Amino acid sequence: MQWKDFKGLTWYLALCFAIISFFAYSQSVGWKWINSTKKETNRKDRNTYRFYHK
Amino acid sequence: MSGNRTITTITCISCNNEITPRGKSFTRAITCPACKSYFRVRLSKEEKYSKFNDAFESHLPVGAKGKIEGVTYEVMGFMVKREKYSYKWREYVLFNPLQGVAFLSEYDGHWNFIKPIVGSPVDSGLKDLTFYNGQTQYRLYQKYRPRVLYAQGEFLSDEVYISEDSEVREYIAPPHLFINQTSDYKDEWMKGHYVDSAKVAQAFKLPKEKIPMKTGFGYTQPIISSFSESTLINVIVAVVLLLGGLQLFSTMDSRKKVFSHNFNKSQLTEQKMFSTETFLLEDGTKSLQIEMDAPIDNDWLYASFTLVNETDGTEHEFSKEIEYYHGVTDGESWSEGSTQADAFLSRIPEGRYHINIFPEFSLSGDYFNINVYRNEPIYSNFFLALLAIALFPIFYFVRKYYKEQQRWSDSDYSPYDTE
Repeated sequence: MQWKDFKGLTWYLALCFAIISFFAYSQSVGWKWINSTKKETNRKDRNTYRFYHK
Repeated sequence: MSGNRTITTITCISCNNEITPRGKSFTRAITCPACKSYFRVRLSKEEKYSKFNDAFESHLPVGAKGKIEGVTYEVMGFMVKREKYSYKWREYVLFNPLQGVAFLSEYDGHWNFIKPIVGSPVDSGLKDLTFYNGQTQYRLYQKYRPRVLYAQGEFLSDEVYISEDSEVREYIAPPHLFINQTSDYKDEWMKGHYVDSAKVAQAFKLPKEKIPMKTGFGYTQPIISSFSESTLINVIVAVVLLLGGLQLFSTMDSRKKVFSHNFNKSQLTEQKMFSTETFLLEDGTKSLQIEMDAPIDNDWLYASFTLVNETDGTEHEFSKEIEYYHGVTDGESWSEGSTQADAFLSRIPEGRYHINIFPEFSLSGDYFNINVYRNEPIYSNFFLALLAIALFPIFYFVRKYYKEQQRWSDSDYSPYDTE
């Protein structure tokens, strides 16, 4: 495999490099990209799902 | 008519016009520029000749020179051929004195550059529909007996006779193809590949508008020509392995408990809040997870929290709620919620912290427990990164599937279900 094989994928390699770098940084500082923990000032009504046990 | 190894002119068998062949002694058949008769170059006066009813425009002028793959070829002849479904395509005979003959074929603005090869390319697995050349599988795309509708210029073999006496099979592995031309007395193979029309125009120094516009999807046209599929797969494998390694490495650095305490309703201060003892967070910036559990039963517990950095006063506010209910309805038991909940805080710098907790108890709930963990492993980022990296390959392979269906829609040997 030679460099010219990757030529058409340069932008994709750059994207992968950016994603991997951001991923490595996020893991090292404990940054969860989608975090469901949020600030609520008041208790909401019952918001759980009911499961039936058969 | 005259013609032998040393000829300098050929006399037209029909109109006696004197023709100086470009291919000199290599020319085996020719179309008279004056009367448009096509005939074989031979000494015999008894030679037959053909006249074509239709006239077609040659997009590459006979005599034009162009450089393809580093070799300068001259356009010797031009043919229009047709097969049983009345598809018509153009073939240009190219010649270089050192490299020999080659062909450019064009259909709907899609071009293939083709050269004869010695022997058979079939390495293994020859069946009616497929064979292997090296590691590459070639599949039969079309089989036909061509008819020459029109010929112009010179030919290094009697193309009209050979074409009409032959069966042609074309096997493709885009952008490559092999052509097998067989007759009672010959079995010849040619190898070719797709050439972009812009490159053809550039090679023969022609304006793009002189070259036919591309229509549809060429049968040897690559899905994407700027990279190979195997390279893309290699890149994906390498990236996934790297991501997996990084995930494993970050997970191995496991979480540490930095604080734990039980809180009872009876200990509430006048401000209706609990304030934890100070705890120390180390090792730079990391995540923090607060886990809350309470022995509630058909009840709820709600609390809002404030994580306070005692060094610089930074506050992080969040809230959590625990609900757990169960029962029996219409003879069926059910449950909902849980007696536990956790909150995740990203990028909390090292320092001394405490948490202010503002709980709301229901009638029966009396106490709850809090555990605080430093450097909680994160798994969701791995799957999100994987998804981001997979978007382009998914798009590529879905597009490829539909393009392949389109490619094979004109073939009688499509591997896709076209019903």
